[in-house]
Amino acid sequence: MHQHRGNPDGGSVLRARYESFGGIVCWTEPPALLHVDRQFMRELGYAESPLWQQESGVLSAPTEVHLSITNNCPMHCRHCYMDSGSGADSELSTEAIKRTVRSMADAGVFHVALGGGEPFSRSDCLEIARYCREVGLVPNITTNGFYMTETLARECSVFGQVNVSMDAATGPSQSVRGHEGFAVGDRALRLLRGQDVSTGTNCVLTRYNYDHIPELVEYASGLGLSNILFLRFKPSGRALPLYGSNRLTPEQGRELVPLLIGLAGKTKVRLHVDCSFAPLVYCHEPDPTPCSFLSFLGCVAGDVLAGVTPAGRLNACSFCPDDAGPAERIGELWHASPHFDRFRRWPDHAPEPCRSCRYLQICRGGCHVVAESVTDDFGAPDPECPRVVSFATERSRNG
Amino acid sequence: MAEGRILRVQLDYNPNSSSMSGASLDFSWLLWFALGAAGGGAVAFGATRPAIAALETASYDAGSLERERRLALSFHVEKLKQFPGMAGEPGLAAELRRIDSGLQLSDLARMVEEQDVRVTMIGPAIDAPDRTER
Repeated sequence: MHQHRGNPDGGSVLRARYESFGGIVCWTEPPALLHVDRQFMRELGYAESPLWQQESGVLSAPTEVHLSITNNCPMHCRHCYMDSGSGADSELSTEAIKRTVRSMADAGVFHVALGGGEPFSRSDCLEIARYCREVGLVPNITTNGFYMTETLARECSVFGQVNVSMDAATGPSQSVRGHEGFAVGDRALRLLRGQDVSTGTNCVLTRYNYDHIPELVEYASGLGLSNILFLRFKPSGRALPLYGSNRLTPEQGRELVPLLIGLAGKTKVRLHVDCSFAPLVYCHEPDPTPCSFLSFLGCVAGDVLAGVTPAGRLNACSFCPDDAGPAERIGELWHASPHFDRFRRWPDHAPEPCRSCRYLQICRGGCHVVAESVTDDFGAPDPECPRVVSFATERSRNG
Repeated sequence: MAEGRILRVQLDYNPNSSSMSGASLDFSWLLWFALGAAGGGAVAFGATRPAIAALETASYDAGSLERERRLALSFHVEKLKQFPGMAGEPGLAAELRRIDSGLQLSDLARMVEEQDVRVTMIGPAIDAPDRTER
């Protein structure tokens, strides 16, 4: 990893790492990770790399790791995908987490998203974040806001961004979470904004809070939040038995993208959906070329993303129930573990209707964690994809 | 020697204040061009250093845009008011003229002012041919 290289043309590279195709550069202005070819790296002043003698379809490391540092959480949301509650004896010590963070930095990771459970339930959470900065990683965090105080909010300047989980702007959050979490999240958000910390919110979408999306966007806009990340309801943890009754209805799934596009045009808050929503985006048939170029991609597990469990196990995605091994060995396991290969190679063995879909290489079959949980088959197509639903209906009709 | 190319952009990332969106899809740009949803083909611009913009700008055209001789360019809309208006940013304005996007600078300036967005450039980026001349 190379750091702080100036550039005579005005922009600058904060950090960069080599890849077989050239490299990934972390650009300061505008803020972006650019995947560039070998010639581009030469133009930036980087020397030839042995990696350039290789042809590899796999990145040298993830660009982002979701690091869950505890399973402890005081909120006990009924849809928690981690089944969080009490901490476990197997959770890593401060020093072990630092070793893991160090191994991520050595591998070339750019960003770490701390999560849990409730990460601030660990007294060393800020120490871990500061260590991330020390080794050149940008730490971000997702919190429910339960432990937020004015003092803690001030300390949160160490993070690149703090996202507070909030599943609706008002009452409906109770129907999602099983308790009234709005007041907790709202208080945290206001404290963070009071300290001018870059802040957003995460919202797990269900059929019950779907109609309240505009209210949440308006609320976020009023508070000056930078973004809302809408997360799909995943059948894992405590959410597993609730999946069928809480996931978006097929109609809501088809309407989601037009709804968000309409709202995005009226607000300064950036609206995101997680990569599991890709089938609900591509069913609207956007031009695939710019989508690919701008990384508007389906499942990025094992591509730019990896996860680490509170016990320090490395996996392709934080929703994934199995793992590749100890996260401290990320540099080795990223390339050697079949755990990642099955995510990366999913399109190679895609069944119909994905196989003949022109979005296969960017949609990547939607969310494999959802598919495996619902069908017991990791290779199955995403059951919420409208195209998959139509295909199954047609096949059923034809006997 | 051929000029270097950008192969892929993760625009969501901010090196100092990441938006935590490595695994997410950002509708801020999708709004403008991927679905052609912005007023029948609005154009916005991605961001990068002048040297990148000095390479040819990547262009994508949707059917309706092509008929109107407009280009749908790769772009990124940030919510920071870095550019109060095109007139105040001569370098950017020059780039826009060079691109000859078919979109009037005054339109863009109004968009920047009314929506309080930052509009910067990106390109070229992909193997797709520049369709400016079509």
